[in-house]
Amino acid sequence: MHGWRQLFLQGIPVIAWLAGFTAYAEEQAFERIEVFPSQIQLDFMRDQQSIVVIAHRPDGRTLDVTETSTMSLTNPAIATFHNGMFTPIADGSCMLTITYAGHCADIPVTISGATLEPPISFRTDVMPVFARGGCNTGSCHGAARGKDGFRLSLFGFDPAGDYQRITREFPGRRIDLGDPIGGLLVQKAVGGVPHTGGKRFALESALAATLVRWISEGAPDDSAVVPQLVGLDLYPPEAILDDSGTRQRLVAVARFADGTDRDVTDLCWYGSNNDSSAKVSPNGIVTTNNRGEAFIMARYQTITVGMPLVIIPKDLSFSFSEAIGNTWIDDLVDTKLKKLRIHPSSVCDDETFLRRATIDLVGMVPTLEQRDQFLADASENKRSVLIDELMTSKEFVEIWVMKWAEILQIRSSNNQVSPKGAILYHQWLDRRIAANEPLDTMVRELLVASGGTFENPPTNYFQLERNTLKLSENVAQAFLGMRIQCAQCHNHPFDRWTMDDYYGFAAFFPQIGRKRAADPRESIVFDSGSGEVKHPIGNANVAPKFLGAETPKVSDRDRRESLAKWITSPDNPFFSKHIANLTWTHFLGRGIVHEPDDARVSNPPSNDLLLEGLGKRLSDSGWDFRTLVRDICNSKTYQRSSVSNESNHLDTTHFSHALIRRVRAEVLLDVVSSVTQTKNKFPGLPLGAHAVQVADGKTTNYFLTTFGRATRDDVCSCAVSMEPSLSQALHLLNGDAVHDRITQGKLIEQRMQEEQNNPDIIKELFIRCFCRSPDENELTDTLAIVESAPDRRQALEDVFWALINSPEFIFNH
Amino acid sequence: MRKWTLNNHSSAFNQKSGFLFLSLSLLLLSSSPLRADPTIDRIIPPGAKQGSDVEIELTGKFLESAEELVFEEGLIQVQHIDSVDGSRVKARISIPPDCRLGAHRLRVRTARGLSELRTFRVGATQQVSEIEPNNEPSKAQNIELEQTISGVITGEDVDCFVVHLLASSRIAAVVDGIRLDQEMFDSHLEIIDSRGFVLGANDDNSLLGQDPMLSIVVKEEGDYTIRLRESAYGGNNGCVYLLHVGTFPIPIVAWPPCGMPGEEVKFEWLGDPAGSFQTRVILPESAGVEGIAEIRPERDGKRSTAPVPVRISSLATVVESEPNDVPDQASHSSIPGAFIGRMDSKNDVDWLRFSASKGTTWRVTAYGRRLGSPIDLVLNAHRDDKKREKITGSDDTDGPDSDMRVLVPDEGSFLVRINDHQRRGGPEFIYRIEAQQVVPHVDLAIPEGRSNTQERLVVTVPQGNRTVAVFNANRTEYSDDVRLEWSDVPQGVLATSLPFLAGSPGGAVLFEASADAPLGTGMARVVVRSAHETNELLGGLRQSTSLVYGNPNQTQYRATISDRLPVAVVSPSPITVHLKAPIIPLVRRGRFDLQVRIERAEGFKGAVKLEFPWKPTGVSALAGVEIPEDISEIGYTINATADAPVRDWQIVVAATPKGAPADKKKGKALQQSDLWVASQPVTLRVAETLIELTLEKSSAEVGQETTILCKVSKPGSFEGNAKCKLMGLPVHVDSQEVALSADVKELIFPVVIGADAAVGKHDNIFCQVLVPLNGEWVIHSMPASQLRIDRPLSGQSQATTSSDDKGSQKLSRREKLRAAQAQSLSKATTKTPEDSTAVPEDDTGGLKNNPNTAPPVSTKDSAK
Repeated sequence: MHGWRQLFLQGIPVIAWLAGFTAYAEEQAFERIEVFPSQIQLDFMRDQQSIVVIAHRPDGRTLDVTETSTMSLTNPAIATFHNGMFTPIADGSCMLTITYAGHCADIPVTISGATLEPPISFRTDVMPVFARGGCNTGSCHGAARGKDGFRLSLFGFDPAGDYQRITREFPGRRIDLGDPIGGLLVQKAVGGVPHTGGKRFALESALAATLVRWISEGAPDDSAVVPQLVGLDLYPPEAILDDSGTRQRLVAVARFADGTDRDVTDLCWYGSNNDSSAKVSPNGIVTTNNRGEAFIMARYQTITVGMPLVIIPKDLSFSFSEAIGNTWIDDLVDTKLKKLRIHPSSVCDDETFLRRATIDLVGMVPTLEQRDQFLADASENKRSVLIDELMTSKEFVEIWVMKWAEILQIRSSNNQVSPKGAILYHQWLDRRIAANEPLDTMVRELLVASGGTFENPPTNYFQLERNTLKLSENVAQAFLGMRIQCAQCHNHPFDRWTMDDYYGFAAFFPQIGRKRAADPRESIVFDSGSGEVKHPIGNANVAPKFLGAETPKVSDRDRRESLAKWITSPDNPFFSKHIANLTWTHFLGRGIVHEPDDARVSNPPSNDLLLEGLGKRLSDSGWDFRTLVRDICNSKTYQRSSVSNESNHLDTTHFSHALIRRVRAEVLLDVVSSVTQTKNKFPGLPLGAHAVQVADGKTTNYFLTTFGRATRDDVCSCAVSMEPSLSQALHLLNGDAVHDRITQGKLIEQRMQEEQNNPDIIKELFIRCFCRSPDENELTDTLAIVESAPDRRQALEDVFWALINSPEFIFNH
Repeated sequence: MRKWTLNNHSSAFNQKSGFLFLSLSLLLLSSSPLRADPTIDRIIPPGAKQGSDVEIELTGKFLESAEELVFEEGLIQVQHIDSVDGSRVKARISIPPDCRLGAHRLRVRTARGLSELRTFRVGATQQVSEIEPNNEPSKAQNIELEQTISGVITGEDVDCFVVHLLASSRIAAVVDGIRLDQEMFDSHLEIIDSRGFVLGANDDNSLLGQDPMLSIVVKEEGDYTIRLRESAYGGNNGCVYLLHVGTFPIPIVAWPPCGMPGEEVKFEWLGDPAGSFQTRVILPESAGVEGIAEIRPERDGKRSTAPVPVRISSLATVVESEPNDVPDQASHSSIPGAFIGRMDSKNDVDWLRFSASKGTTWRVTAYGRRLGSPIDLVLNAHRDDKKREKITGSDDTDGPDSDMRVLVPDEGSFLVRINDHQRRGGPEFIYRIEAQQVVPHVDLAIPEGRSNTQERLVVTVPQGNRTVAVFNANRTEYSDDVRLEWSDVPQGVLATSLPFLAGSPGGAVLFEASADAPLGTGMARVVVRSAHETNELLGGLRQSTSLVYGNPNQTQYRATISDRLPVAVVSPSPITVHLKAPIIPLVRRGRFDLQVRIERAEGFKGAVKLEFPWKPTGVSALAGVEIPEDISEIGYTINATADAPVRDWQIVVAATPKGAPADKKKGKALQQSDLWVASQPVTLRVAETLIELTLEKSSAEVGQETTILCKVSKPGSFEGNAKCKLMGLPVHVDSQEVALSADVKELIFPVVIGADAAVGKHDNIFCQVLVPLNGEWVIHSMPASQLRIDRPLSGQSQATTSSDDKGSQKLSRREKLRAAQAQSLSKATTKTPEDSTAVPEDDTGGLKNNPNTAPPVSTKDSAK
């Protein structure tokens, strides 16, 4: 008898499963219990379904009580329950009642086709075995050239190819129809013969049973169209668990296009994004460890899904004091913090806020006059007023033009985009941002741009990347925040994107025509009306298809039009959230999805409700990003102090306190110029221009390069380096950026000529650099150094130099 | 005097060979014996007003002895010209009051050369100079309306000019920047009000290309600033401009965009921001090589400073009548003829039907952008039947304009579909289509050489000497020999064309100046005629000259086309060159050393660069051979390919004097010279080979002696013995020369493979055969073969190298196979190569040394 047959044990009506799990004998009071999935449907003889039962405590914590619950079927004659699995006996329907600690839940059970025994399907049954066994990973047979002479498609992107290789290569050896267990496919997997990958599963396991049964049935290929997998549900959808060894079982249910579902808990691959907080075993049991948040992923065939887990100390006493004056953003942030048992930091003082907001909003540090004015203002809404004032300045526009120029990769490029083209492209963007054109309109205008690259500058976008596949990757990353590159060669292992999705998306771009214009530096971008993208498997033309959405009708139209419409549609789940996240990242120093252009199933938002809220706010406001900026800057979340408390000092992802951020390259150079009263010179810009105004990404400047300015060669948000480095410190210490500018700016010289005294000059320097006066100790110590120095000017310049070199200057805090 | 050749075959040059011209002792040399064509980088100011006398300064190189400022049309008078130094020339010029407006072609002639082409602009308004600093509106320079400002945009420079305007008044500004033909200068123009708001801006436009033009009507009285900069904030000292400011109109296109020569036409001028207007204009009788006249329409007494192009043609013209958006509505036009129309609106398409006979070929040419229209014309020809099948199409053959040849597939008519590439339309989107039958035609032009110079596009001939120019003959529907007729060459100069033969892309023309030919410049004319009795006129010169280059890749931005060739007589050259007439042929796949003698004038001791300026079909030569300072004779090697046409050609060689030791101290510039002094033409016969040999493949081991078999595949007919030698042998492989008589059918080369010879396949081993004829050697190179050198096998090696070490090595699979093969062969071929007995043993010195101890693996075996 094969292993799988053993699952079909009959005659056990209802049991109370009492093994193990006695740790919580001192049961607390529970509020309710939940059962997942919400119904059981068994469609054929070997169909089966497991369930998971969750008990909720009043403080939000959950407990897996599946094994200690009592279960009873209203009609025990139609199904049986064994080893945590329901299996069919006869057709019919009834209710399953689950009881735990006085709480009760009912779910319907429907059995149909209890006597049906469909053959094993290669795609639905056998392929998942390779995935579950780890056979088709990149380090094993999924490698480009396979392993030890046997190749499978990576993560199963090519079932037809896999079938061919298993059944047609080495006939009688890889699989032996006369001896289903004897072939290498089974023997290697079960460790019957030496195998580089070792024993993957036991001969008695269900996985082996599936293989053996498939071979014994003649190793058939799927004759008809196999119902396509349309979804995967992972249960429970979320959980808040105690730390240190608490266990939580998972149930995975796959849904197919024909309406059927299937328990694939044993066929999924599981992973955790934070093993130090929660680990997951290969069979889907989560075990908690340290306090924190983890995201548990399950992959079945092409679909990866995940569930968020919060792990909190078991005996933590926590009470969240409700804040007054919260904005809608703060409410959403606090909700998550409450769940995590984290207290947010208090709101920062006025000086800190003024410096932070000025750097973030206009890329400058406040002047002495601005500081005095702000501090003297006693009105309650002075922060809002300041935010509004800063947002009306041209520097605010320049900051966002710079950020969009990075997204749109504005740069000159050898023989494709001339410096003039780059400047015109930049000017186009500048006009759009300055006029506060709705972002959806701007992006639509860009994506459907046709004509000359001088005449209609957004066409440069299609000149900067002429490769169809790379262009489609850029569009997905820039406007949807997704990196779909992996799916070019194989189905994305940690996301939902398959090769079909990838090439379907790329199929919006192959018809872009390009020709030289009358000016040799200019190109004309147009819809050529012909050209297709071919799928590497099968070499067939791929119809354009939106990512995760339908296949539009594109005949006789510029394909880009329908794409642009879809991308900027309020119904698009990605665009608004991505742009909102980019905006959020600018002000908070970390995205809700981090990195902001790497949204994927396995990299979930740290606060999905907040991200959703921001995205909705953006689209509801008529795609006016200024509204979003105003909301963010007015929130207490943005205005929190960077000083952390005991509960939030480890938090870097939930915005419980301000993150200390290094000032980005362009802004830092502008700030250095501003505090030292010196001027910048960049090619193509007049003397005294700001670094944020540089139009062409190819412009080189040692300071900017050292501090991680993006060259805009790459669409990736990671192209902007915000990390501090040794070379940056050395450049500030020894390079000409600081020392020469202090000398050239002659600030100290001027103050000495004005006969100001040392304390006043030192005070001014502190305010210029840090937007605050020196405290008593700082002033005393500095004064002592200056007054004991032989050369007063030299000593004061040294103080200036030291302040600019201090972390407080280089960081926004 | 020492003789020096490129090869071992020294030549006996006839020292007494005559020369047409004067002996060297008569040559009068100036202080520097070298000659270099002068160059002009800048002309300041770049233009002047009609009726003015102005001093202009030209900067460049080699301007020491400037003698003449040559305005090609002769309309502008030069009062005097003075060289300031080698890099500057000052000249005073008079511009007649009725001088033609626009660009005038200009060159400088020095005693030693003629400069490249530049242009000087004549305008109608008063000209003032820019005064810096004027980089900000607050520092803008005050100007008046109806003025032209002459200025320059240096690096990241911005020039501001302020003008006071009354309410509701009009201001127009036009820039001559890149069109001054001095620098790749793309300018950007703005008009801003006193508060800094930009009221209008222009960068590029369809009429002037990179030069901006702008016109606005201001609402309020006040000061208005015109701001000019380089479009990407670039700029340099070469970015000179003329900024015209006034109240003149700036239309961009004319309707109709054409007219007959000399005809008076009522034009509607379109594209001016103030609206269209109409004037009557009498068109010129001719309009240059391209048949496009520049018209400056007037409105309210003010003349446009941006000329509008109008096509001048005698073709009957049909005007479009809408609707003609589908083939069934196609407008009908007879051909040869022209059709004018307009893309009225977005997505407009015009169809046109031409009557034509089946099998005739028509050239359909579209004029759009060339006439100032923003249109990007696409032409498609279709059959005039139910299916409307496409015959051919064209896009962007002449800039954005199109041009196609239609072979009419059906009797009766064909259709032409016309549209804008980007489906745009509007009142200014006018076009003209011309259809003319393709007739035999030949255009003559000197090919433009290196991408960013005008090198050799003019002819400079030294007094008492000779130079050469190489022309391409671009043939249309004509493939036979042509001849050239020259006229208007300068006094004392004789132009002689070498035959322009069928199958050859072009030919050479010799220009010879007598010793007393006066220094000066002439604009020579040439017509191309059939070389046959018909004497049919086929065409003439159509010389394109590139004026401005820029990124990317030094692409041409500005060019001009002329039908006249500047020919200048310059001071004598320090060298003359003599080419000895060959008395033996150059055979196919053969080599010949042209005997060249250089005579240096007294005082000149420099090296000479020798070139073969025009190569007959199938004949090649080294690109340039330098004859050292102390050498006067040389064998200049030329080669023929295996399929070179067998015929007689007229050839010349050209020589360029290089820096003498004395000159080197004066700097690198003095060593430059681009003079081509040509030899007299001689006849070169390209002939069939006199004998052909086939070299067999062979192989041997390192350290062995072997033989290489060579069979006579085409018997020779010559007297005496030819000399055969293996060429291309690798280092440490030696062979010997073998003599060969006409009756021998096979010969064997003894070859010694040295112990250090490189192991492997050597593919380029060939046999060189020198056949005696007329007392000289006709050099043949036979097809190459292969010699394979193997590593010695263990125990069988005769090599003196450390075979013991290798003997202990494990044999590779290939080595094992070879060993087995060698063993079996050694059994089968223990006898010596008896075939060699076929070779007569007399006078084969090389063969006598052929060792009978040759290894068993013979060349015969490997040939099998």
